[in-house]
Amino acid sequence: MTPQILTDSCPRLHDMLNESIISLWISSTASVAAICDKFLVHVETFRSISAYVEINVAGFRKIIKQFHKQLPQYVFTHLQKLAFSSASDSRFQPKYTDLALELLRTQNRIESLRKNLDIISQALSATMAPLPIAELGTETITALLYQTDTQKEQYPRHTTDLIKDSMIFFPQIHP
Amino acid sequence: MRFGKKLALMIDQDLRHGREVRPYISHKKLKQILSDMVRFQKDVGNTSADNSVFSEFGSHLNCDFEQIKGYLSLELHSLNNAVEDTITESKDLGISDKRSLESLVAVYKQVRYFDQFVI
Repeated sequence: MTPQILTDSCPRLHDMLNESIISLWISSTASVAAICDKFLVHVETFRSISAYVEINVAGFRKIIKQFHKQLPQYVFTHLQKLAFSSASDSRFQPKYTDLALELLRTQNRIESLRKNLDIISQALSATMAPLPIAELGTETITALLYQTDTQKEQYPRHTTDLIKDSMIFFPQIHP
Repeated sequence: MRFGKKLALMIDQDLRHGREVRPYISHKKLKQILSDMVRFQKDVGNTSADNSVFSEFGSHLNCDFEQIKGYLSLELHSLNNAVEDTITESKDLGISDKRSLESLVAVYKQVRYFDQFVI
């Protein structure tokens, strides 16, 4: 390729490449933004489920506390045997563990989705996006992803705490 | 915030979101059963552990658990499916768009490299 050919072809080539990059950038950013919207809905649903579990664990704790206060002659395992046919009943043990583990699994999946979106958004930033698009694109997405980190404080409580709480249903923990 | 107020707020939120009220530990009802149990204990003067006296409390608590568990299982199942779908979507997007962008940018950089030789 001679300098003359380059001089002639470059402006057109620049334009074409710029147009392609801009158009791909816009569509990529729009797709990531659409997935981010879905992600936000999932996070909200997860928060609502976590809060629901938390209030029920609190309700259970409260009624058991009341039970012990009013009928101190009864021990917790005795109550468990009443609530369930037997503390060693195979139905008893998985009652809350499977739900607690399922909750943790869901949180992990949401975190993995957040990481995926984070990687894509970083990749988009790294491709020298034209400035106006960069402004409307990845910065907003990155900030949004950071805000919705499921490990952050805005959660009612961490899932691990909820799991610990749900352990009150186990006879082994409260013999 | 007090437990009762928190619960009332949550039920209110359920209604405002237009969904049916979710099952909760029926604290009020259980408290009522508990009071009846205490009254019964005092009336008969019995302080020993008698299973039959507490069966109503136990079965009510168990019924609450089952309802909560059923509801949660459905909710978590549906959320997991939705998250899984979005993960697949994000993976597909990540592979196709990232590669196309990278190759375009590579060409763009090459052109920019040749620019310096143009007089």
